[in-house]
Amino acid sequence: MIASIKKWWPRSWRQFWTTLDGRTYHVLLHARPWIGWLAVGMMVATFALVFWWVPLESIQGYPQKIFYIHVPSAWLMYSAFAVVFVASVMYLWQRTQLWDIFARCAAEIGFLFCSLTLVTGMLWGSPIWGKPWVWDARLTSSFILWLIYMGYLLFRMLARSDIEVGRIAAVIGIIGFLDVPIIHLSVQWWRTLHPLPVVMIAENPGGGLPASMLITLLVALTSFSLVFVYLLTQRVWQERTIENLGLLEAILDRKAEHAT
Amino acid sequence: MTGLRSAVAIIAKDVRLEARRVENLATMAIFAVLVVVVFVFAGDPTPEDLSRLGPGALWVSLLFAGAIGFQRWFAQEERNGALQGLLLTPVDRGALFIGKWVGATLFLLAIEIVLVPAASMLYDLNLGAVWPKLTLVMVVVTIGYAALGTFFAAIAAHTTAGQLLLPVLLFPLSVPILLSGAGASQQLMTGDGTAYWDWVGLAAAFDVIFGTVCTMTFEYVITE
Repeated sequence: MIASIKKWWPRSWRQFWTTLDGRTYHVLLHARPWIGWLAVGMMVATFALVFWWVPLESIQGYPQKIFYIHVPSAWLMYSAFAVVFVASVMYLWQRTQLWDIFARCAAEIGFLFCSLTLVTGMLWGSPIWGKPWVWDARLTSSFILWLIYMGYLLFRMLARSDIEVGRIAAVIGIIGFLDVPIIHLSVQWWRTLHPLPVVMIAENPGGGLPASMLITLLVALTSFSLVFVYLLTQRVWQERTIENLGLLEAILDRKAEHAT
Repeated sequence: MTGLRSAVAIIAKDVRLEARRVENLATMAIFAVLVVVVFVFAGDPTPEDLSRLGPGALWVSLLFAGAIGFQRWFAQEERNGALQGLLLTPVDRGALFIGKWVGATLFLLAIEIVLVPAASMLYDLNLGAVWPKLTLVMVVVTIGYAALGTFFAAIAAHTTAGQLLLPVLLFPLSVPILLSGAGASQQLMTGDGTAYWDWVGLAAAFDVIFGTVCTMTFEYVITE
């Protein structure tokens, strides 16, 4: 036990912070297929639980079932944006490509989950509220988050090629994440000061959930987390491959030049 | 305090430049007033609607004026390699940011001096008793908005889309400050004023957080 801890304990912290020690990173990337298959299995289990096991909610009926997709997407959207924040800080501190790639990939996936949250929320809202969109505090702040990270990705796309994109994107990632709690607070105040004209028929279920619903939610959360980790490692691996291919191309070009 | 001295020098330079081309600021003020006017056409409001919409129109027009202004005030540094010259001087990047930030705040406030009376007249807002409190919230919000605006103008300058990207990045991040401004002035004009200090406090917290973060990280945005 102690020997194995010793074996995996980083030999140098400097190396750990710059490249995740190489080994952690290596293990993460090589566990990719297993994480992927595990995610598929858990996803099947989630859908089985949602459709055949968990009891129908008495007031909302079937639309309530989207809750098991909506809530995990929302949680993972925040996790992904937190990964963007941490990776951005690490990039500004260590300046190794790895952190930049992590930040970029996590932002893409966070944006995906954010879109999923908004879409499932609107699908749920259509029958329950009678319309897909109301200016509820949580809806509004999720939508603003979606816009912020779209700006982040747009900057990455539109940045001129003669600058170091990662550095500036990291700053946007940090500022965007710091703005999240302030946006939440301000939007909440804004909504409480201007009460909604429509009566909310049902609040978002939460708090006193029955055990069966809680279990289903937790299973769904686990499978979504696995999907997130899988997508992240897959994207990071892809970016590394692109980078390595570029490197290889440069080497071959140089060799060809020497040959002629 | 060489940092402070260089910040003051940058502010003085920017103010002198704008003072020599007053028509620029005047045009922006007219643009801001025009936005307020166009807002009326959008809704065919009754007199009650007017005083309810007034504060919102004021802030939206300021948001637009800022988006145009920040781009201009930063882009003037890029002409003739002035920015390279600034970067070559041994000036702390934080001081450079503070200089540009204070300058942008002053110019926006200058626009507001024209905009607020015009809007209060057009929207029939009763500013008689509330103007000191309104001035306070205008100043606090402008400081925060100018901080983010100057910062993102520097960022947007690094893209091929330039002017297009600035509002896309700036507006979502400025939502809290816009809501504070609109919320506080709404409280002053139509509400009972109880939540006024909450909104001003939120805007002040925004100023402190983003003023600090932007000053600290400006070096990452600006170095060529």
